[in-house]
Amino acid sequence: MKKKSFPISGMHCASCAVNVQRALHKLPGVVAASVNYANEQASIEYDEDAYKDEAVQKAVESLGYKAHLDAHNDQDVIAVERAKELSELKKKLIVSVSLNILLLIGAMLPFAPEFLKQMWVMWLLATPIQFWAGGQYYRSTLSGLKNRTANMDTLIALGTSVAYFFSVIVVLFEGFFESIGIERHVYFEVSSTIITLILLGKYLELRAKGQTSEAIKKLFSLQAKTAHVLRDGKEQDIPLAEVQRGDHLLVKPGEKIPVDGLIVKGETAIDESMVTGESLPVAKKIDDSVIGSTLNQHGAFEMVAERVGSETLLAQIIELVKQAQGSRAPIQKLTDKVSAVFVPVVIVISLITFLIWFNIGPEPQFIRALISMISVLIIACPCALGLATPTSLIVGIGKGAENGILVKDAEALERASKVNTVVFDKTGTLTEGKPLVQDFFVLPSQDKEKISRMVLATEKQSHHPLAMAVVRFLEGKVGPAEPDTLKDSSGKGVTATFGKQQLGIGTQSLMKELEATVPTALQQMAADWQEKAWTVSFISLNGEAVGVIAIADTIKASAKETLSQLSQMKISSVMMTGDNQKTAQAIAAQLGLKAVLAEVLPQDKESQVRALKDQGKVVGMVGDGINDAPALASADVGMAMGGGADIAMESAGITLLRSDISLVPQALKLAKHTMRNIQENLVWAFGYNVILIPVAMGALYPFFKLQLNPIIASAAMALSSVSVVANALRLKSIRLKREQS
Amino acid sequence: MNVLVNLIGVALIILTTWFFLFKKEGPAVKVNKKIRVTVDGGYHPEVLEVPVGVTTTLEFFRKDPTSCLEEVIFPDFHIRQFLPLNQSVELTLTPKEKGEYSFHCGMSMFFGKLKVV
Repeated sequence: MKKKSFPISGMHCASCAVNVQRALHKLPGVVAASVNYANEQASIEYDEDAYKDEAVQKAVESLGYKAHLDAHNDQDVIAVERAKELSELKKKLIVSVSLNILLLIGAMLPFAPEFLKQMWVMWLLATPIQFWAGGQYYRSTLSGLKNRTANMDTLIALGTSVAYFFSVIVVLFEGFFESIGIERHVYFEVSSTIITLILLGKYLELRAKGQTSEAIKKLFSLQAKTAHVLRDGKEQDIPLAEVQRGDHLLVKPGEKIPVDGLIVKGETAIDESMVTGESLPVAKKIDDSVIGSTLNQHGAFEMVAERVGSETLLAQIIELVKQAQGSRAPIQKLTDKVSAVFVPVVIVISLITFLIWFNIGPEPQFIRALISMISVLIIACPCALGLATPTSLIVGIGKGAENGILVKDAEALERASKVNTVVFDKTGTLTEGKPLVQDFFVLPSQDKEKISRMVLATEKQSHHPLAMAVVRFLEGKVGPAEPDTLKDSSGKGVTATFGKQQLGIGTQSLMKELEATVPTALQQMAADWQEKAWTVSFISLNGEAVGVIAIADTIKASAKETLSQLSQMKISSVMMTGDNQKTAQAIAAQLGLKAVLAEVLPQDKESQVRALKDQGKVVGMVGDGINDAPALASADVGMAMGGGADIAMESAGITLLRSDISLVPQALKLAKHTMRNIQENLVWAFGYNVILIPVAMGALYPFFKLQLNPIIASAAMALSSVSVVANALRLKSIRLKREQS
Repeated sequence: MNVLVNLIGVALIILTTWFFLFKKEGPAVKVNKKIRVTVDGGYHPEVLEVPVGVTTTLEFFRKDPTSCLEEVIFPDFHIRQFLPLNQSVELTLTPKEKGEYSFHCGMSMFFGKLKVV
């Protein structure tokens, strides 16, 4: 017997729960079922052999609800809560709007049916809105008062109560107001419209808020649900959670890879875009590592699971994104201080407003004082202030994650937005970090095919990185051969014999040692190549140089474009390398770079970064994250360029999930956009309150004889928090990549 | 009549200021490994005293439907946690340094404090 519990959304009464419970109980394999309406949870006890998740899903759906069987993550829980809140709000909105329309007709239209103009009818219509639809504002106010705290709901409850209860008194004590010279008038439509509009604003805000965390929802949904495990030579389907390290798993074409691991059999192409943002499929073969949750395109393969559960790359990414979204931007400290005292201060301001109008305002003083006071209470919007920073951050950080840019926290994002100098550790960022044959030349008088074959056979025996480059270049192009003898001359090259023929591959000094003559054509060619910072190897055959090979670390295809993009963003780039001045300058020239720090020893990288910072520059350092950790940590923002499955971000403020240099300007752009968005929100939220609270107090009255209507105040307030969220959502549509020209 | 209204008004201003802004911090509650924090118009207990370097579990239980309170945030610990209504949610944290760290709701209106000793 097994037990499981899961949320069910869409239920709106206790009898729904009873129906669901009955339906679940009837399912094959289910022995016990209980459904709790209050917390929308179902728990079942079942017999594994007969039970099926799909049956539960279907049964619940047939009743019009939804079972969230995979709701073991936060995002599903939030989605369930949101759905619940939204349906509750919708119900309240429908009732409020209908009653409110009747109220407004009665209050505003002179030709309205007589009974709608009756005060007690208005009272009757306004009461459910006040205490049922607006009940949550009272509940929240009361629980806040117990703790001597006030929040936005307190303001709404206070503001609408003033209007409502004043009107009730007017209805009940008919003669009193006339006796003191105040015109008898009720404001039930004011209290009701305020509540209705604020509910509407809340409804829109909630819906928009649901979209802010879409990025993390998407990441969660990437996970595979099951895996085919090979146990005792048999294939078995198991849930993802049961996959263990060391398990041999089978991945079929078109399926998601369940966990991180290593291919042990077969080869394929994998679409990794969902995790790393890499748009082209990546070819993988035996011994290559694969990332869980990426899509196997074609070719079945067998893999061994290496990281499972919370260790997988995707799980780490989700965790990091969540953590980053929970961090606080330095910019937020001010708003936090303001928010903490905002509501009490507004209440005091509203009282002062009342007294001013009451003492020095025009007739009818009491009524005008009351209306201004209500307007102040209603128009003040601490929510916009509270939402301004975190909402933009959540959207911005999520947007980054979707594009392979992981931001450690809000602070890193804020600093990245100010970066004006980017230092690239050359190898692995600007260049591939892997030597490649750039040119392979054999004198036309020689048999190129034969020489190539001998070169390949010789270099295959050597393990020098340059030799490997030659092997990669020639393999598959020429046939095999086998040298009889082989001699490694350390630092110079290698010599081999094939029967009576002697082959040498190496530097100029090896040629000298072999007493090989080097024709001028070859010498010229070698000199030209060295200018380009290429490494040159000569090939000699029987004491005569017959060819040259040029090998160099290739500049990444996107490097030049990226650097020009940075300079357009007014960010200067610096190349840091351990290469000698001449080589470094040659590479820099090819990249169109002026600033070069050459001959930097690994241990000096950090001090070089510090030196730049001391010049007053805000430095972003791009490196591979492992060798460069100290330099990354000492920069204002360290940007670690990933590629591996490890994304420990201790030293880096930003981790780039793929080895693609064009992510650097994208990350900086994201930071700039997000910070600008936060500033817009703050200006809006502060400005809104700073300008409109005085307007509500009556600042316009002395000049224009204009007093703010509380209904307009409530509309403004309802819109203000929605606009903050909507503005933050704009971040989702910014273009990080430069348009293809 | 006018005098009375003015007097009431001034009294309310003083009362509001005193009631909300001159609130004394509640007593710190010592936490031994785990504590339940009820979320109802604020955090109960409001001030938690936790030992440095010890992993502490905070079990949040939200009873208040106010939407501000639906999230609890510990900015210094990079925690932003959604709190479903009427359900327990456990958070664990291991403070590395002594000091006072505030935590608050999603819109920074309700505050609590973590005293790391």
